Amino acid sequence: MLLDENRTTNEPIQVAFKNTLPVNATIELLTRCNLRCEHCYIPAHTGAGLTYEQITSILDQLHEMGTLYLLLTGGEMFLRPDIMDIVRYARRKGFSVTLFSNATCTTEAQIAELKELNIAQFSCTIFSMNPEVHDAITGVKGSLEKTLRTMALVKQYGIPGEIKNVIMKRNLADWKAVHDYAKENGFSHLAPPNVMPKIDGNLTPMELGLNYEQTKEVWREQDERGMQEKVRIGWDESDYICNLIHTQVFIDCNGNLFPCNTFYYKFGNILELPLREIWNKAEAHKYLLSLRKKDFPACCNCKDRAYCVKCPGNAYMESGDLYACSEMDRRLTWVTKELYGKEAESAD
Amino acid sequence: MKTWRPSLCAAWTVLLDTVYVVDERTKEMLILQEDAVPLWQCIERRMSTKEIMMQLARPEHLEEDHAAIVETLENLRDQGLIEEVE
Repeated sequence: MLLDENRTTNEPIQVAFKNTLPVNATIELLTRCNLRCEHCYIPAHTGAGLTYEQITSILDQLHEMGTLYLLLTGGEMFLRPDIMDIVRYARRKGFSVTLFSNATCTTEAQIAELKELNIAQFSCTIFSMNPEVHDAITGVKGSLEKTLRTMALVKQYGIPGEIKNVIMKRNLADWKAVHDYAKENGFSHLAPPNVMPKIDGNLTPMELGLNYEQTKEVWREQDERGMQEKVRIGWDESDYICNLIHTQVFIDCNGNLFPCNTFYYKFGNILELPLREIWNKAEAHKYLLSLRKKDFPACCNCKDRAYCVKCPGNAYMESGDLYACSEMDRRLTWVTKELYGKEAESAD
Repeated sequence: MKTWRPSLCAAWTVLLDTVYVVDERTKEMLILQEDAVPLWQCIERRMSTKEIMMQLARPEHLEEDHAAIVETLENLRDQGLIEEVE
């Protein structure tokens, strides 16, 4: 019997990429939510989501297709009465399960069961340690207190936790305190200075986001705190425009399939056809899989292309044109160039 | 009758001819190949040791295969990745 413990934990991702397999999947369980975050990309919080039977059928199909890493998101999933049944089914099926919740309506009994189920991570969002700021963003007074109470339980039960912290103008001064809180409690912390448009093309949320100078300052400070990943500089026209398209699928609460929850280019609906058939045969999916950097002529001619992590999803969300240059990418590209350009040139 | 199943400490997937098993407590990954792959599939289907033997042991190598299968099952159980349940 061949049991090998010495190979890299990254191997499933590499194998999935080489063979175009959805090793990562995200399911949006509903869009209903008890919070009203001012920047949220979901236009209407009314979707009750698929039924338990539909979701377990999707989980069976994902398992057959090789999915290992499963992210469940919403809306707020703990508004679903069957949420624990879904998580239990997913864990028994073998998925490594991460939950994105706002952590305001989770009971201690649920947290205790999540520990028994060995979920991979419980992730929530904290905008500020100041309730006036956090609650103003969520639109619900008392929401920070509830979230902190839940995260204290997450820590107590030893569940790996993550704090997400979208940085906007309103909470610009607050992310360092959130970072300190996360560090003190052993949670990972993700604080992107990005605000996405709504998925219906409404750009209003972006007005809440940071400008170039603010983004640069945040990025520089995050770099000093070791929060930034190593920046890759370069542009190879033969590269795929996005490697993630080859290894992941996002299923929204109506069964529509997209490359991810920031790239709303629909390539099928799982209620109409089996996942395997859509993944392998849908023309829209084949098109997405074929996209390489060379297919983006404006990018290939851009003087800043080496500093750009082109996200076709951002462009598609902002303008409906995945070949366009997105405001979000442009701002981050300029910041990358400003902060790391000289370093990269001297390394050359 | 007691049957085997993956434990709640394990997350796993089968990609091509390999099973990747993640220990969710430590994030360490165990990679199963060759004859360990059908064995894992038997565990996933909640089969008993006897059923696994009937499925996987070669008639001409019964003793040898029996020992190897039991050793692997015990190894996986001792790592907490599978469990035997009524």
